[in-house]
Formats: sequence, structure tokens, C-alpha cells
Amino acid sequence: MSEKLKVDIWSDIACPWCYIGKRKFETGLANFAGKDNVEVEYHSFELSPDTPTDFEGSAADFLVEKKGMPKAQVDQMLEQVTQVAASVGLDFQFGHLKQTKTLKAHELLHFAKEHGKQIELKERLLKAYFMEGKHVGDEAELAALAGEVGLDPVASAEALTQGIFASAVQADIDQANAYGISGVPFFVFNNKYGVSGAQDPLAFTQVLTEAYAEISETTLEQEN
Amino acid sequence: MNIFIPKAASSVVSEPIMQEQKSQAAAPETPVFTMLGQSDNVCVDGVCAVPQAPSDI
Repeated sequence: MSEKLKVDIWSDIACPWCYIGKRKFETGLANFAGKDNVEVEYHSFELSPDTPTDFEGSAADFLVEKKGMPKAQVDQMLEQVTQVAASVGLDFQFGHLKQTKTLKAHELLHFAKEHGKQIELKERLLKAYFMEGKHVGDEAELAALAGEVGLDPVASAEALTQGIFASAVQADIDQANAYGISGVPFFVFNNKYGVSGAQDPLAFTQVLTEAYAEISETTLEQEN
Repeated sequence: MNIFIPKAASSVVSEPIMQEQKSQAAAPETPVFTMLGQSDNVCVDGVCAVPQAPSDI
């Protein structure tokens, strides 16, 4: 059986459930017998397009100032999601997080896809944002991160400056709208099955198994 | 990272389907999905759900 099972994932960088869901999906995929025949592609989704590129303050400050939430409630929520992240091995550092617009990060992910490095860059950007306090809206910072995963930082910077992949980002967002996707992460298997949210790994393994069995049957029917 | 709201309900995994067809006039594609799982653990319009405790997920 050589046909690949395609998994399309819509997500944002500034999305804690997207990072947590990524870990859960990866665990589910690792437990799936056909994992070597699975192709994963990430798609752009801007959760909060009106976020400024530069925000002076912490994640908590952003929630209090821009969203009008009580400070005590914000602190409690950040603590809870930090604990959830820790349960899947992620060390979120909200105290150091740089709130920013993620449009340029998405453009860079498309650049990385063109060069076969999208998966590596996706992980690098999420880690940089949630765990290292890096400014993933800053083009110079993004180019440096691109270099860390084996992309040409100069070519990366040029692509960002010229906005070469802006239309590709918009196409992903348009596709999400067409699919009726309003929240992320959102997983699409073989352009047929949808899974919303950071499910448990076992759920992902089950969906992978079901979708894979279907394409296997189809292939056998075609061969016969 | 955006605003959080308390998690409203537990996850729904592999429930029988809601097959729905979404379409828009200017949409690039008109898909039909079979939803094999829906969870509250998502971020929507800049608002992210959060569980009451890590054991909730």
C-alpha cells in the first residue's frame, strides 16, 4: 500500500491548544501502525488578526488591557493552561511571552513548506513563542529561527519583506472559512474526516486507523 | 495567546456523525466533512477554552 494518508491541520502560533493539540496528535500518530504512510501539512489561521505586531507587556497584560479581563482571573487561567501544557511535556512561560500578530510567522511557514521544512519550523515557532519569549512577529527574529531549522535566513528575510507568501496565507484562511472552521486546532483527514480541538492521543490514533483503512480498501478495489 | 474562557463541557470523541455541508458563494472549495471528534479544547475568534484542571483533558 503506497497511498499516503493526508492530514491537514489548521492552527495558529499564538494558540495554546494548537501546541498542546500538536503534541497529542504526534503521540496518537506515533502509536498508529501506518504512521510511515501519513503526510502532515499545516495551514494558516489567524486567531486574532487585530493583535499589534508590538505589544509592550506580558500575556496577562494583554488579556487585561485588550480583552478587559480581571487580573486575578487571568492569572488563574494562565496557571491552569500552564499545568495542562506541562501534562504533555510543554513548559509554557507566559511571563516571558511576546504577544504579537502572527501573519508573518504564517508567511514563513509557507516559505518553509516550499523548502520541505514546514514541520520543523512549526515546532520551532511554537517553542519560541510559548517557551522562549521570542518575538515571532519580528522579521529578523523569524529569519533567525528559520536559519535554526536549516532554511536560508537571508532568503527567508527577503520572502517576508516582500510578502511573497501573503496570498498563500490568505488562501489557507479562505479555505478554513469555506470549510466552516471557526476554531483551531482543526484536523482534516484525507479531505473527508474532521476533528476539532486538542483531542486525546487515542482519539487521533482511532481516526488515523479509520481513515487509513478506508484508503487501503479503496486501493485494493482499484487493484482488483 | 489570547483570551480564555472556562471550559464548558468534556470532550466528545468519535461520536456518530454530524455530516454537514458548508458552502459559501466565494468559497474556494465546498467540502463535506464527517466529524469524527469535537472537543472544547479550541481557540475561537481569539477566545480559548481552558479546563478547570489538567485532568479535564
